[in-house]
Amino acid sequence: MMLDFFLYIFSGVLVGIGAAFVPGLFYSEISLLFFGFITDIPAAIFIASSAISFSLFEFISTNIFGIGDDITSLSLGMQQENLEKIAKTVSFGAIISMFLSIPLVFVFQILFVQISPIMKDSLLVILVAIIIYTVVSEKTFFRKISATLIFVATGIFGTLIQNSGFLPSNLLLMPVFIGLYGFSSIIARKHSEKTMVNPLSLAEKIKISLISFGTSLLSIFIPSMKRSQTSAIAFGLGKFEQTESVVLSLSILSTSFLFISIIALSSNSIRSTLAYDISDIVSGLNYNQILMILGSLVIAAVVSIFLLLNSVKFLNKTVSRINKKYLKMFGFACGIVLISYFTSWKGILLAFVATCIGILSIKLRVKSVHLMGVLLVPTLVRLLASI
Amino acid sequence: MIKENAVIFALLILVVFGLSLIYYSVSLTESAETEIANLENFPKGSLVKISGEISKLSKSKSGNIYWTLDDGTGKITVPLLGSTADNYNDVTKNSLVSITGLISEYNGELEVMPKEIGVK
Repeated sequence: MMLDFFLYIFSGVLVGIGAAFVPGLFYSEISLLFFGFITDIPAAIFIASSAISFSLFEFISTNIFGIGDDITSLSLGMQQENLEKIAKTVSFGAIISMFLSIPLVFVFQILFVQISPIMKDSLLVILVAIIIYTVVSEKTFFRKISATLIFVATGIFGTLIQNSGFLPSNLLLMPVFIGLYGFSSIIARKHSEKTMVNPLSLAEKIKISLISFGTSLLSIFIPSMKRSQTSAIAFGLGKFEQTESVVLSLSILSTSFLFISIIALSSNSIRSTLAYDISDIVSGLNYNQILMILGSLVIAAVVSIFLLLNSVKFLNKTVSRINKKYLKMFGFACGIVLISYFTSWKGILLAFVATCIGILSIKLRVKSVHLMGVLLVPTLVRLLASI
Repeated sequence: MIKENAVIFALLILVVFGLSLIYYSVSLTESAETEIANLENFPKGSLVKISGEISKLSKSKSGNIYWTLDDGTGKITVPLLGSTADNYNDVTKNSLVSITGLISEYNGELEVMPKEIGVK
């Protein structure tokens, strides 16, 4: 029985890693193929394990190929040549978020009932404050104007496309983020411009961890908050820029999102694709089953971190042998093929506009946090409409 | 410097042109008329048109209204939020309505977020 348990975890981890290295593929799509053989709790353990390994390894594949999902794309254009450093930061973030998330199991019901209504009511004020703060805190007048321009342009862009029916919601952000962060960086960021990795002090790491984890809690309290939207708020709050802090923040958000969404199942609240898949596999999970899935998620995370830290040395060596120019061209080609295949001309149009805005922000030397207007403004508009 | 400014200006033009093109393309997006039973075959975020009878109607403390629409093939929740709820406050149970809206998901359940509402 115990051997089976570890077998489900380990095979889930391997499936997640495999999916992470195929651009456009999601862990749940491969996991579905196995559901003819395993069902019920073993299937839930399997898919949870594949989700955590996918989430950790996708940071590496995204930074090799230059394309990723809504969260990992945000780490693009920053540290492509330092996979080992990314792996260490991602692992650190995952460990911190596990330590912060797990105690929530014991207080979740209280938090959910008491804080949720307050958070829903104050989100509008929080968002407006963050937006004003990020723009006003730019140092010079020219920077303030440039930041406002980029924020408004991405805001109009996001408002036009979100809730428009232009593309299915699960595909909408893929061309947008590839354009904003991937293509624009491949085209416009010169090699020498690349921000080097500045080692963070322990105090900075703690600050980033608390801001990112605190923001990820919004996904519990506000059902419509997605992972990428919470990251936009975390970036605005912490003013994380092109350094290790971005990757650390994203790793914490990504991992805690998985843990929190499993914990939220104890209140029959579905907060992520993983939670949806699990509730589809096993309906009416009891407290012990949720603890068992959480336990397997922790074990899978530890196994994934071990594999990540050990495999990245080999990956780093392999990638460093390839000419950077060819790697960039390959990433660009992969992005075009991916967008064309999944979203046709509509995705290409979105990626084109997103790339132009991304290049404009690089040319104007505007911090990438202002590109998050693409998510923050539509959220703001939606909240205003619901008053 | 002049070259750099020209690039920035060209990019601004491209962004304005691109956004206009997206606005035009979005305005041409047509809704697919379907039965409620078929909604789960559409990806989330798709624009659809459904018609049916309001079989259940509830109001939240915050003033939002939730219709349960039944077309004989299935049922779906249609949330009316904020000012939309104010505009359709007088619509009663058993009214026939047609909804054009986006398929979304709330707590694992499908719903249609209305963009256009027609009361028959």
